[in-house]
Parts: sequence; C-alpha cells; structure tokens
Amino acid sequence: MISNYRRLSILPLLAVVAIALVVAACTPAPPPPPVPTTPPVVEEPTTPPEVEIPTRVGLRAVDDFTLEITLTSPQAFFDSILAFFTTYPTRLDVINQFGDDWVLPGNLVGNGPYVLSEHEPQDHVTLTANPNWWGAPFTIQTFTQPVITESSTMLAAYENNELDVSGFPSAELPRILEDPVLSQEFHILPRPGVYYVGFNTNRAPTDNFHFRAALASSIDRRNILDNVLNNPWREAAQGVIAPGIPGYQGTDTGFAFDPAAAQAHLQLYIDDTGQTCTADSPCSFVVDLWFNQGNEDVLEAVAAGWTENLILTDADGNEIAAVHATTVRMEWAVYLETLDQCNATPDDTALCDYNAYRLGWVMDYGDANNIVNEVFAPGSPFQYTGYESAEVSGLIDQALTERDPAARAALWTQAEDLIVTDLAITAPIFFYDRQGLIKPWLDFEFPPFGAAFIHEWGFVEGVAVPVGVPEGMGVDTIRSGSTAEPPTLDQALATDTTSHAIINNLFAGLYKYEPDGSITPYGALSYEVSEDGTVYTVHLNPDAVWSDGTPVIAQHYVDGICRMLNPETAAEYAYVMYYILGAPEFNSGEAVECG
Amino acid sequence: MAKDDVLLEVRDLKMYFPISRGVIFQKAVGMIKAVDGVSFTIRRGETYGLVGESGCGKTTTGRSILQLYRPTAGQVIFEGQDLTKLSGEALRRMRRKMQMIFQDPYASLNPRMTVGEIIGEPLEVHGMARGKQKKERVQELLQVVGLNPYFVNRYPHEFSGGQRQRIGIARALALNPSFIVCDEPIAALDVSIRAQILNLLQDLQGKYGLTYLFISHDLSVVRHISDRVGVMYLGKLFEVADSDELYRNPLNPYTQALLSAVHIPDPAVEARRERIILTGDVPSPANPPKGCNFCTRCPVVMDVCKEVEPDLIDVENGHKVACFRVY
Amino acid sequence: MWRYILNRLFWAVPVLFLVTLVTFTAMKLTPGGPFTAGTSGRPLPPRVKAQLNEIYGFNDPAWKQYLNYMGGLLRLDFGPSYKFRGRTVNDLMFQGGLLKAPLSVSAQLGLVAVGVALVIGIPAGIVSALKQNSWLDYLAMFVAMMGVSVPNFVLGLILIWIFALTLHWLPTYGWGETPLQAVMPALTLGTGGAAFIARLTRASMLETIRADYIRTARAKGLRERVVIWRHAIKNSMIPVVTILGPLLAAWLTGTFLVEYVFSIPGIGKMYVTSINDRDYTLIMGTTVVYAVALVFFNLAVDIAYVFIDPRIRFD
Repeated sequence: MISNYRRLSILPLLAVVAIALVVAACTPAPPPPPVPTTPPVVEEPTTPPEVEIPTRVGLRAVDDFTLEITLTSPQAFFDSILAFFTTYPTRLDVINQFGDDWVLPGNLVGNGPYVLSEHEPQDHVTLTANPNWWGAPFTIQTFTQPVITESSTMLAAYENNELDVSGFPSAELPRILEDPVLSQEFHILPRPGVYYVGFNTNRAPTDNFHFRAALASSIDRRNILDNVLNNPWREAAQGVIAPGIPGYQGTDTGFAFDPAAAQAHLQLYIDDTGQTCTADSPCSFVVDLWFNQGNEDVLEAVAAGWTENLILTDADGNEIAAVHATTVRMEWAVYLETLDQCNATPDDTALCDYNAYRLGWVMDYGDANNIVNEVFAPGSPFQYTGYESAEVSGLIDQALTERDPAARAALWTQAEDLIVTDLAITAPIFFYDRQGLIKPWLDFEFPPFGAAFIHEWGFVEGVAVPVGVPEGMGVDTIRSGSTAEPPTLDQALATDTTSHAIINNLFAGLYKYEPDGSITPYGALSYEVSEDGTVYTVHLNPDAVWSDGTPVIAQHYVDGICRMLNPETAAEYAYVMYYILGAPEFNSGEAVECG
Repeated sequence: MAKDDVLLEVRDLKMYFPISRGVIFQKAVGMIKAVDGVSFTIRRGETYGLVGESGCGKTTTGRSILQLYRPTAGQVIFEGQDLTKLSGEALRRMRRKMQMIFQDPYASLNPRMTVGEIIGEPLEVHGMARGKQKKERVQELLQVVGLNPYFVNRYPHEFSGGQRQRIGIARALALNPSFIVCDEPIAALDVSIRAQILNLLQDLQGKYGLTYLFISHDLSVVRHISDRVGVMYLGKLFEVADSDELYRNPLNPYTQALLSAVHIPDPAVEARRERIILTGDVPSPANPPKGCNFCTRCPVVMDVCKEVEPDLIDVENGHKVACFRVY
Repeated sequence: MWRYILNRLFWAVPVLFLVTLVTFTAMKLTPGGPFTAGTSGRPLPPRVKAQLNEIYGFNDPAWKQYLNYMGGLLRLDFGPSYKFRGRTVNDLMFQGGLLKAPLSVSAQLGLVAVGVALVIGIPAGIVSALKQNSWLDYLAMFVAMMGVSVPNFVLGLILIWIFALTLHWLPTYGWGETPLQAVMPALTLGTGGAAFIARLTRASMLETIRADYIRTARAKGLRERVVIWRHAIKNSMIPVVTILGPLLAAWLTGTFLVEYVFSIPGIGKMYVTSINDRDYTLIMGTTVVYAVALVFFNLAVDIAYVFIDPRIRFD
C-alpha cells in the first residue's frame, strides 16, 4: 500500500512535464521550428530609400522647453504620434540608479497625475494621486487594478460590488443584456480596429483574384455578428479603415455578402484557369483556413459560408463545382510562428500550406496609415498574404506626404480600394469596439486609442453607492479589474492594454487623445511644423514636473525616444518612430548617435 | 483435578452471518451458517482439540465462545455463567478468565506498541498492576514464556515468529486466565519451532492448571496435545472422542478420510493405511445440503443421509459420532 | 537515520537534473517561442525578434542554452523572465517575502486547505468505518464521492454564487487582505482532499479494525473507546500520512485551478500562464521549485514514519 502512494506522488511531477508536451502534441504538426540564426531581412514599413546614412537621430533639445524632431520626409500623420506613448519622457538617471528595479513602487518617477504606490505581481497595482501633479486638481485619488484572471470571477466580483469597472466572459453577454441592472451598466465604446481574413496569394486557388473575390463575397458578416457573436450593434466590415478614421468608406468598398456574385466570380476563376467542370467530373476546390484558438465560432461560420454558398450547378441543377473549406486551429504562439516562417520563406509551399488566415488589428492612433500602410503595405511583417503591388506602395508614399487632410484621406481610400476590392487580398469581417461594465456612479470617458485617463473621471452626482462596498468606492477610489498581470511598467517595453492602463496614468506624453479622437496638449503647449513638413518643433509646458519635483525638460523626451529606439532595449514599438531621421539605422545597430 | 469437573459447556451454539444486498436499503438475502448447532463440554485442566478443514467453523466457534462474536443462538456456560447473557462491564470482568492465542503472531500484536505495553495493558485496564509492579509482572511473564525480560521496550517487529508467539502467550497469561483458546497457534510458525511452542503450552498448562481449546487443521498436532478431539465439518460436530480412541478407531467416514491423509509415525499403521480421496468441493455454508452435510462427498453415502440429518450420538464410552452408518 | 537522509538528498540531485533536462527538452520541442508574439497580441516585428533572441542568447545552440541555464541554477539564479521583461524569475517567485511572494501565498493556501481536508476528512472516515453500512456511512461516502468528482473549478464557482453573489458574506477574489478571502479557496481545495482522505481513512480503518490485534485488544477486555482510540485510529493513520507528502507538495506549490478561480496570486496560476506565454525560464523555475518541494515533502513524510510506525527504521 505504501509503495503505491509513493508511485502516485511522482504523477504530478510527470503531469508538469506532460502539460508542455501536450501543448506540443495538440498542435497540428507544423514543421520543426528553426531558431533563426541571422536576423531575417525584412522590409520595414515606409523606409524611404536613403542614400546617405545620417550620423545623428533627428532628435534635439533646443532648450529646456523646446523639442525638435526631424523626419526623413514629410509625414502628415506624425501629429497623431505626438499623442502616442512612444514619446513619453524618461528619467535615465532613475533607470541608471535602480537598473531593472526602476519600475518598482518607490523607485518609479513619472510625470503623470498618479504615482505607483503598490505593485504586487499577479495580485494588483495601485496608483495614488501624484502630490507634485502640475495639472488641474482631480477627484479620483486612488486607482486599483486587481488581476482577476478568470473573467467569470471578475463578473461575480463586479456584481458583488468589489469592482467599479469589469469585463465579462462572452458567454455571459446574453444574460447581461437581459438583466435589468447589468444591461444599464453595459457600455459600448468606440475602439477602431478590424477583424479580417487574409488570403495567401502564392498558393492555389487563392492565387487568383476571382477566387479571392468569390470567398470575400460569400461571408455573411451580418449573420456572424448577430447570431454567432451576439454583437448585433457591431458594424460589418467591407474595408479595413475603421469608422471614425478619415478615409472610412462603409459599404462603398470591398465585397458585400452576395452568393450570386460569389458564384459568378467562381465561374470566372474556372474560366480563367481553363478548367472544365461538368456534372460527370465536377471540380472541387479546397481552401485551408488557419486561425488561432478562441476564434472557432467566427471562423467555422466563415468556412461554412464558403462551403455552402460556393456551389456551381449546370442547367439541370447538377453540381459541377464546389468549394470545400477546411479549418486548422492553432495555439496563438504556434500560429504566429508558423505564419512568420511562411513570411520569411514565401516560396516554400510546403510551409505555407494555408489559403486563408485570421488576424485582427486595433489601431494605435487616428490615421489610416496605422492600418493601410503599417499592416497592409506590401511586405509588411504584420500580414501574410505575400502580395506585391507597386500601385499600393505608390499611393501610400503619396498619402504619407500629403498634408491636406481631405486629400490624404482620399489617397488612403484609393489604397484601401486596391487592397480589399481590386486585389482582394483580404476579406474584412467586422470592426471592433470596446465593451465593458461600469458602475452607474462613475462619470467615465475612454479615448478611442490607448487607455483611459483616470484623473479625468469623476462621480455622477445623485447616484447612491450601495451599503457595504469596499472603502473609498464611489468617494475617491476606482477599482478596475484586469484579466492579466501587466507584463511590464517600463514605458519603452509595454505594448499591451493592461500595462498601458497603468502607464497611461503614470506618464504624460506631449499630447493626449480626447474621446472624439482629436489630440490636445498635455506635456506640451503647442507645436509647429516646418514648411517642408519634416521638422516638428514642440514647445513644452514649463510647469510640468516629475513626481520627485524636478522639472520635465526637453532632454527627457529625447532620452525617452532614444531609449525606445536603442537596439539593446529591443522595444516592440520602436518601428513606430522609424519616421524620425536616422531612427531605423540606429535601431538596427548602425553607427548613428541618439541623444 | 477431577476429570468430570466441567469448566465450559457449549450448548447448541449457532453463529450465522447475514449475506446482505443493496446499497441504501439492505436486506438479508441469506445466512452463512458458520457454526450450526454445536454442543460440547470442556473439563477443567484438559485440552480439547477442534479439527477440521479450513472454513469448517472451528475458528468461529472459538471466537463465539469468547464472545468476540455474539452468537446467534445457543449458550456458552463458563464457570456456571452463561456468557451469551452477559454484556458490558460484567462481560469485561469475565474476559480476565478466558484468553486467546491467535494464529498469526504478527498481526495479533499492535505494531505500534512495545512488548511491555502489549503485555502490561490488560494488567492496567483490569486494575491488577501499575507502575513498577506492572513492569515486574511483565518481566516475569517474559521469563515464563522463555524470553529475555529486557525485551520489554522492543517492538513486535523486532522478534522472530516464534518469539512473537511467545509474546502472544505471555499477553494471554497476564491476567491469570483459567481458559485459553489457542486458534491455530503454530500454523504460521516454522516447522522447527512448532515443537517448542507446543511444549511451552504444555508446560504452562501443567504449571498453571490451564484449560485449552486447541483449534487446528493439523490432525497430528491435535493428537499430540489434546485429551479429547472434536471433528467439525461445515459448521457441525461430526465426531467427538478421546484422542487415542479417535485416531485408533475413527467411526465417521469424514474422520476416516481426514485421517487417511495423515502420515502416522507407525510403520505398521502406515502400511495398512488406505487413502480415501474425497471428491468435490465443500458445499457453501450459505447453502448446505439437505440431510447430512457430508452427503455430497461421502464415499459410503446412503439414501437416508440425503434426507435426514444425523444426530451426534454417544456410541460407546463418550465416543460420539453423527453418522447413519454407525448407528 | 542521518545516513539515510543524506542518501536520499544525494539521489535527489540526479532526479532534479533529469527534471530540468526533460522540461527543457519539452520546451524546446514545443513550437512557438517566447518572442513569437508581442505582448500587444500582434506578431513581433522580425527585427525586434532578432534583437530579443540576441539579448537572451536564443541564437546559441540548445545544449549551450541549457548549460548556461544550469550554471545559473547552481548559483540559485533562475534567470530573467521573457514575458515580464526586466524582472527575473527569482523576483517573480520570491519577491514579497514570507507574506506576499507567490510561493508563499500558494503555501499559505495549501496549508489552510490541508488543514480543512484533515479536519473534515479524518473524522468523517473514522465515523464511516465505525458505522460501516449505516446511513451515516453512506451519506459520508456519497458526499466524499461528490467531493472527489466535482471539479474544483465548478465547486469554486458554486461557492462564489452562494457566498458572494447571493449572501454577500465573502469577497470573491484575492488573498492576504482579510482572512475572509481564504474561506472559499480553502473550502474548494480542501473539500476534494477531505473527500479523498475520508475514503482513505475509512478503508484503512476498516482494515485495521478487522486486524487480529484489535481482536486481541477486545479479548484483553479493553473498553471499546480505548480499542478504537489507542489501537485502531493510530494504526490506520499511516496511509493518511503517506498521502500527505505528495498532497503537501502539490498544494503548497500552487494549485492552478483554485488560484485561477479566486484570483490568488500564487505560483500555480503563474505556472500555467507561463506556459501560454512560453516564458521558458519561469516554466523551468516553477517546475524546479515543484520538484524540490516534492522531494522534500516525501523525505519529510518518510522521516515522519519513524515516529509514527516503529516498524520503520532507516539504517
């Protein structure tokens, strides 16, 4: 008996190892992952051909309160970048003093309205009002973000009045919408972004335009939103530019759901490729659709739509051609790795054996550059269609330098038409939004991009807070649930919404986003652009001080951007700053100075 | 010691175990008649042997006598008191006088107690000795059973099988009992030390005037130690006789079959020994055959055996037998 | 005794070595690395990926990475986390000290739950065995069967529904702010263990009370209470103690589901998220900690035997 228990005891240990093995075993065997030994050569988005390599990155502190940014070429959307977190100032002295520990409470020095007072990993982060805050006074003195990984627990905590702001498991949405209380606290807010299927243009049958058009026209997007996702308020997407972004076209671009048109495209594809399909020998076209776990509902509906709608019959009603969609589901990291390898070696047909894949993109700032160029430009590392188009590249280059907003929007529109209609390299499915539960006593606002500015929140007068809620709730404290531990509070490294919900309140950038998507001065007072559109001169707010009381000067902004671009930092979002003169070279480790 | 001084009388002892079915609502669907109407007497100072194949009910008989099982029916009259009518404190007091030695000398000793605790515990609970007095008594008992008295602080697992059985005997003796049930006391021991234990039991019997009920499946051992022997088959007594008489003149065909399988250390007897081989299995005690319990395997079965159950009848000088062939 | 302990510790070394080797190999065989996806949920630009691979030595051959890791491990350095950049695995597992470190939080939860399991399980098992086949026995074993078969996850959500959402008695999530937070997690975790221990105790007790020495004890004329307490219960606890080793090792080093449901910042939750994140060093760190705990608690149980069961000696 004793020995049996001893044997049992080794089981959990084996299980530990087994979990890792199961993850490996459960994934549809992709080719063995080669560890890249040399950095792959990849076209970065919009790196215009530069003959001479500059010796310095185009960043300069003209004086303590004047920052000068020089771009490689006029970049009309760069105004938006001024409000992006990549321009946060940084205290190198603090980082040098504490090393990696500079992000711990007590060490971290920011210039935002709050200071980091508690950070217990996997448990919570708490911010309290910055005593040295240089802006207007505000109501919310404490902001706590507890980590509640399980979303049904988070919803329960919200219903038990332990949270002011909460997410919810999607399975609970019908109950929330029916519940008399929760339905009043359920809010839908804008969050520009698109969920789409991309097509592999290097593999038959999706290498043919008509076939791609047939697929794009046979997705019943409305049905998916209404009946699969239970999100009837969401907008079906035919283009990639989201509502609210200049250049948005609604149904004027791309392919609507139209089975007849889809079948016509399929017939054109058959004619194009010279195949003969008859009732005696019907044609069958297989489409391999890849997606990552968690998207089963939507993608299975897409695949079903293709298989059901794309059937051709002869005059007698006999089937002569049909499309059969097969789906392959992968775990996220495996999925991306497989797609990435395919992008690195697009000719390897054994590796890239997908016809269609799913991805999404939530926009970082309010210019279509962020989606049309950064995601869908030919050669972008964020898409896996393998298409080439000089015309699209040309339009993008034009749009980047066009400073007239209407003309620029028109150029983005033309590029979008090429991508979704004329070339049909992608079939957008729907546009994202932001959904959440917020207690009725909160006066809240969310900008469309990035995280909320908690110091601008307040309380609605006359809304009573229930008895027995945690201390401070409804008075001066907000508790907002997060399903994940923030991966980092280092502004140069953070790229995720959880980290940004914190960092956004610890630091102040040059400008900030308003709920309507416009930008207003924050750490800066104003800026002007040189006539040729390449030099930005930003005038800083001389009142701004750090949480330790020292003034915020232009050099701190230069240090922040340079640190992000430093290859040793290996910042994911460094590419956002590549429009600055010398930045791509510096980030690639070439002999360029920054600072 | 007069031979007819009866110490224990067992009258029509029955021990049935219910067979139940059902998870929540149990109902008895049958009875295992482990002991089914057994009567015998044991005289003071004698050794009464009880033999039979395993499963015949001899161990159950022993335990029922000591009230470790409460019998289904019948009487167990010990020193004039019916034990089946006693309970609680009265029974506990009677236990001082009757003890048991178990077959497995290891399993019957609590592995977490030292020898001193095992032997001393009964002294304490019956208020017979405490402290130093208890310790001396324990050491004395160890000496009596041939063990080193310094072993008091050792645990059972530190002893050999024979030594453990000596401990078991010492424990049984602790309360100065008059009657000891020896349930297969040497069956689990090495052949080489069986004789030592048997001799010890005999020595102690002489020394303290003990009365034994000696239960065994080994006929030669029983013959060696017993004054009288009862043969059991399927919960019933088939034959009772003085030891020598039984072995010389077995009357019941079952006894004959048993004895025919035993080697007898007498070349003459061995030469004319005729082996009787029984066929078939022992019937289930839950469903014994009609008539004589042995009728299904008896080599000399008659029609009457299958209909009527034979009584245990004294055929001559206390030699009792239950068999229609003999009457 | 000391010889035995040293011997066991000596053999723990190759076991732990094997654990690291197997885990490392499994991680390397699993497709998708820590830098496949950015924390933003977007593909990581190839240039950044190359920079990160360079910084973290992923361009070295696998054997060299393993040797480097093992070199750090000998100095008790579990290496940098790949997901929580700038933090080391030592920070993630041990920061916060005795009160707040994930390892410590898991241990606190585990101890409370083991307490619950023992306090409920042992008496239930004993009563069941003594009243075998009574309605009490059937009730206890039915509840125990439920306790074993209802997944922790479900039980946790049921408790939340009852005690937080309906009665508003207990907080839904968290650890260490108020003792009330411990009630539901400890019950959720402890109930399964209690059910298991009750069944084990019952089986062991049934075996014990049928043993000859219990009959001996009765034959000695001992009172029933003494027979049960002094002779039966003590002897039937050995299998329960045996199971305590792996149970303590498993519970004190984090129980993913309960930590997940009640959002307890323990090491179990950290472990599973680290697998999804491909945070190799964190996976390794938590695995090694678990293996060490398993070795330690099994050794502790073996030593405890000496005190519980005189038959066992380590010579």
